[in-house]
Amino acid sequence: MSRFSDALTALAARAYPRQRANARTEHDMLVVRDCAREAIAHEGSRVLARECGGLLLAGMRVRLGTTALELRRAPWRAALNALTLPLATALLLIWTFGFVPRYDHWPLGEGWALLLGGSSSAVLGAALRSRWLTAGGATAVLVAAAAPYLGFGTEEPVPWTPSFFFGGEVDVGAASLLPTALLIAAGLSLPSRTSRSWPRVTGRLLLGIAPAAIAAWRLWSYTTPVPGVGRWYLHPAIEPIVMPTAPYPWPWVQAAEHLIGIIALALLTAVVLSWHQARTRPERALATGLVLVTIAYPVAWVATRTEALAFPWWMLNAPYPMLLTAVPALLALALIRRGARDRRA
Amino acid sequence: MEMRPASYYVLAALLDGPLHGYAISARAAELSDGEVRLTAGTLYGALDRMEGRGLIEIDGEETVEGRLRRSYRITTSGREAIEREADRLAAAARVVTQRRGATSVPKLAGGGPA
Repeated sequence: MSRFSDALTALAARAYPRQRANARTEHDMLVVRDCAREAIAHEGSRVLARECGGLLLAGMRVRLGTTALELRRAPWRAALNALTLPLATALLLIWTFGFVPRYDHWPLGEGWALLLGGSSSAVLGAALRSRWLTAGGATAVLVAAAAPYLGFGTEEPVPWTPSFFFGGEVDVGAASLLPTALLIAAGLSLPSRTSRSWPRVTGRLLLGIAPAAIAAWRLWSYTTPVPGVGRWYLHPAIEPIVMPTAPYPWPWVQAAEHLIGIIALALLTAVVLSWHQARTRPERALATGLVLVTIAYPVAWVATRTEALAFPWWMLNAPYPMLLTAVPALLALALIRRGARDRRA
Repeated sequence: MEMRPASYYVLAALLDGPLHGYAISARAAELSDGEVRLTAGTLYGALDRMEGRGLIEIDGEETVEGRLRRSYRITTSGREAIEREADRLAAAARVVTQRRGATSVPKLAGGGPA
């Protein structure tokens, strides 16, 4: 019985946080566990379940308290600072894809000027470490990208505003809304005054512009697509009437395979690198976790529609992508937890 | 501020001298006629909080039969706190005990409700 109760109490005590760097917590756990074992030894097996339950609950409470404390102490500002350039770079890349002339129904109007101008300003701001240039650029992008979905800037009534994600496509523009909001927060977290090393600013600027420049150079060589066509079926026996379709009224950056591939590769690299560097550069793990939280749903959506991942067809439908969102969200939380883990204790 | 029953009996258990974890739990159960039964997890949570508030302090640690034991003793501040709480409880109890047996059902004039 003693061996059995020792094993059970040891198992229940695993609910306490085990921090290799924090010998005190480990020692405290042993004291509590041995107290439970003493209670069982004196009062018999009738208190076994009660003591094990008590250990489990108390351990979880301590773990929650420790985690909350670590999250409060985590280098959030450094994390937000670290994600300004990568996030601004990704936004500029996305909106460059959206701007290419293959979507010829989109003239360079106010919306596109805001999207391209805003994301370029955000990249410039991130390179200069300028708070207002980064946050201002990101705000312009957010306003321009979100407005059509709220019924502004289109002639369509709000009830006809489409789902952000429809059928087999992912609206990358819509998926960028939350990350853009995150970029505004990141921009505002930058120091108000900073000493600039111009070679470093130039390096950051080149890094920020390079993906969009390469994308633009590649995409400009594409042939202009044929205009959209609609077919009106009046009767099964009558040939349909073919007519050009109305321009798509929303800034739908289509799920181009290249774009999705580039973003997925960048994300995967960021997750792997920041996970491994979490001990020495915790802000990177926190930053990657934050970005992953904001795009958890689009990631799950794209994953279900990626042929290589071979999801069964029924998983394409709601609510499965919503349920699958838990996977990137949990990965994001694990990254944040890893980055926030207190190393000073 | 009102003290939780568990904290009250833990402090009461330590009034007679330092005790280790399980002994505190057993003494608290005895003093409360079995009303307060603390598992090791709950007990140490309460002990940590009370230690943080300066009501008790660690007296020492020892290993007995291969088990770690940590002993606690009550501080002056803890002794004052439990005495204040005992006074408060006594005053609250007096409100009821002084009236016990002294009350009677008043007769309504006019023979009762219509």
